[in-house]
Amino acid sequence: MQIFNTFRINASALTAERFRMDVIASNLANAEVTRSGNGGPYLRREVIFEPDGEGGVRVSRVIEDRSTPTRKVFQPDHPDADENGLVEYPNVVVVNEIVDLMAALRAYEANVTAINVSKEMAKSALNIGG
Amino acid sequence: MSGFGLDRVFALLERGLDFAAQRQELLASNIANVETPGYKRRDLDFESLLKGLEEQGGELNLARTSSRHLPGYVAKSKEVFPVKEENITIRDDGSSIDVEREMVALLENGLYYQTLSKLTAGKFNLLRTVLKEVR
Repeated sequence: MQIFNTFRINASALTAERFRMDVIASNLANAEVTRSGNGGPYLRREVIFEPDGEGGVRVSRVIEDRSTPTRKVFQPDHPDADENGLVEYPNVVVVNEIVDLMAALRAYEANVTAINVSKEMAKSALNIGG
Repeated sequence: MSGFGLDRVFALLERGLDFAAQRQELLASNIANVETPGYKRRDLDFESLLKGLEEQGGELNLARTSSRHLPGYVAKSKEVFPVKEENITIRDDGSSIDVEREMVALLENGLYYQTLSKLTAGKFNLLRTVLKEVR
């Protein structure tokens, strides 16, 4: 039925936006991690969306942001300091992450509204007989 | 007076409801892809709803040997309205989705659908009233 397909489309966006919020949370949690699995500091991750071919949306991939520069702080006593006493901190900018988080939240809310509108449509169709 | 109220008005209401249900799916899709880079918004063409209203129900009418016979109405098989894609770019990520516009279109479409279903329900109520009176 068409109206249920509409629900499915917006639900796919809820899933995708939720995933994006998880990645942003992970960026914030790792904002001060100077040593990650690959040796250097943690690099912020970004979610890329694509249409899923059935009207909805899905996460196509998660990329590591290598264009934003990392922060270098002079801390000679730090175990991860280089020979000049500089420690490389992640390229996570907290303000940008919060703005991204708000954008994801608003997109999530827009989809919830869309689901509610579709729900009211379905309910009004059910009232035709009664 | 046409037969049993199953007339053009029902056909028109049905067509309008069909249109709004199909449009809702596209608008939902636009909102779902609000953050997808390069996505182009898709919508139904309202003109396609207006077009061809005259031939509504004209395909499978009952044979009539007198103009005073009941015309009857047989619903067409489910109609698919043409979809138009707006191949313009209004955002720097190549998308043509404007979330405010989509939300307004969505609400408008929802109310349109509810109006039509109220009208359909009202028409059934008319029939019910008539049937009660004869009983």
